[in-house]
Amino acid sequence: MIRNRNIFLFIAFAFCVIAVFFLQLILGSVSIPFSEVVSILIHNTSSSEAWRNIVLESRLPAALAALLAGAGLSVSGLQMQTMFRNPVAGPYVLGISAGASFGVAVFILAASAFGVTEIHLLSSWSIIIAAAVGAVFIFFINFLISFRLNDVVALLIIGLMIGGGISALIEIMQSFSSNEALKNYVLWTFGSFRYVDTNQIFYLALVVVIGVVFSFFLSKPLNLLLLGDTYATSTGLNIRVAKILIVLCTSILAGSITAFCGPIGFVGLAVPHIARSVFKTADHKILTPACVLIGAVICGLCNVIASTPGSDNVLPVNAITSLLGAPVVIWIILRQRKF
Amino acid sequence: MKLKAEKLSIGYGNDNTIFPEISFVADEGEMIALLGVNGIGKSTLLRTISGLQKSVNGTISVGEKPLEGLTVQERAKLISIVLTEKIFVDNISVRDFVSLGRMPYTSWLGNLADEDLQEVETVMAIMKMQRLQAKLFNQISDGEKQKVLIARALCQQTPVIILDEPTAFLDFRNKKEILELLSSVSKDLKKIVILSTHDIEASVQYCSKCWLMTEEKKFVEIARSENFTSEVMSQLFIESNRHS
Repeated sequence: MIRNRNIFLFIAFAFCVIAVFFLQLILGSVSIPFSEVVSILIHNTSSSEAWRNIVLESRLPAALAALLAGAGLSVSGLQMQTMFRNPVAGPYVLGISAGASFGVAVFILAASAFGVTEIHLLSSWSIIIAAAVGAVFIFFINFLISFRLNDVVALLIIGLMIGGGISALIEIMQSFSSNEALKNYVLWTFGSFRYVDTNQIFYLALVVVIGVVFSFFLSKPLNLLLLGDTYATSTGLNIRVAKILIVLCTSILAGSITAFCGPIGFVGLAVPHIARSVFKTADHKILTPACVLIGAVICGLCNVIASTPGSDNVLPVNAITSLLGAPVVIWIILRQRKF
Repeated sequence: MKLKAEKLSIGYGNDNTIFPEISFVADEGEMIALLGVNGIGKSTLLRTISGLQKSVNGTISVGEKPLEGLTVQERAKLISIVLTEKIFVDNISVRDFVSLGRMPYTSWLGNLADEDLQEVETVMAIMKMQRLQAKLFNQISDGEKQKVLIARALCQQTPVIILDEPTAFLDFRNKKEILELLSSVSKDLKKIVILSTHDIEASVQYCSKCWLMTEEKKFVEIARSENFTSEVMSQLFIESNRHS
């Protein structure tokens, strides 16, 4: 009975993902009819060349990036909440986004010193590489710590401290920055799925798929860690190896997504809670695919809202995810604590 | 299968030995109470026997196998534990919680095979907790939670089960129920059950012997006798008198 319910939910959410995918292609500054979108995707033809360009060059990569980012961030948030046994942990507790931000800040400042300040910079490979280098750097610090100490609380605190320290460094750098460089950096921290172009989306997809499959393989260690380190060890889990693999997996997912889309808040924190309460389970074999689907739907919707259908404005994705995510988390925590 | 310790010293390295020279033999079917004042090293001893902590000196063996040198996976099939710390996990059913005890026997993905499901079923029946199985773990009482933790350990099918103060948060009725249950588990399933406790009067009558960790750092075994409880009490009393 429970199994049937889960299958029904998975199918329902899979349909939602497809619906949100098309919604992202249809809505935007101009609405493009569904039939035209389908014909562009399948036959690569449309009654309007402009529509074809908008869908293929701009909306399709952004739509895919949103689905991938939602899926990846939610899965890594799930891993962090389980590993730290803390409901408010998320993909960024290890300091990954702080590291990526630092890489980007250094890069934008350096670029402006050489007189490069175009907004176009934000969708270039160089910014992705800068963010990835920053994230990898932080990952190695975390890796060394988790290898040396077997203590997740220490890892959590050190992650937060690294984040704090790096924010301070970035603020110092900002005070020396030109206005253009400052604006570019702030735009990057807003988060956007539009920076990803048609070539880059392939690489993002590859990394996210690898990360998600990797995390599915970590289901058993994650399930054992639910009861804490001592029980996990006594049921045969080598927790040191397990934690290093989990940190690696989360870093791959959160690091690559932040590199391509900027920091996207709250999705990774809220979606695992939604998944747990919808599927009524703590089993990671179910929660991981559930987070993939629900995360994709939510990030896709946020992308639609951020594009403010019918107008030329674009809102910061980060603001939308926070506005949607914060009440969801509050609602879920209130609902769970009623007994 | 026997659990043996020879000249075991526990603690954190040579400079920080908490309790020296512990030797004991426990046989299958025995339930043993580990007694001693707070801070004497009961938990450390239990952690050392469980393999969660290295011993300073000496050896522990289950059957013929010395514990040192076993992998965590091998150890998980010999010794299971029940801890005092409270567990908070949302959205996990009692059944799924108990099933986690089967993990040492499952493949890399942790899927339960038919024999695993069968074992979970059997343990639920032994513990008389079938009516609980669909409930959520965080919605049952403390006494029921303790039963779930014991059931999880039983599912691990280990010859040795170690419990750190299993009756600490329970009322009198629950204490009695848990102790009776552990006693019948040790006898019927031929397991070695070791539990630390401060509820001497309540627990000693169910045990086949007691291990006393005295304040003079002596490890004393008291075998079951006619006036078992009073003998244990007087031993404890003498020890504490001698100390003061």
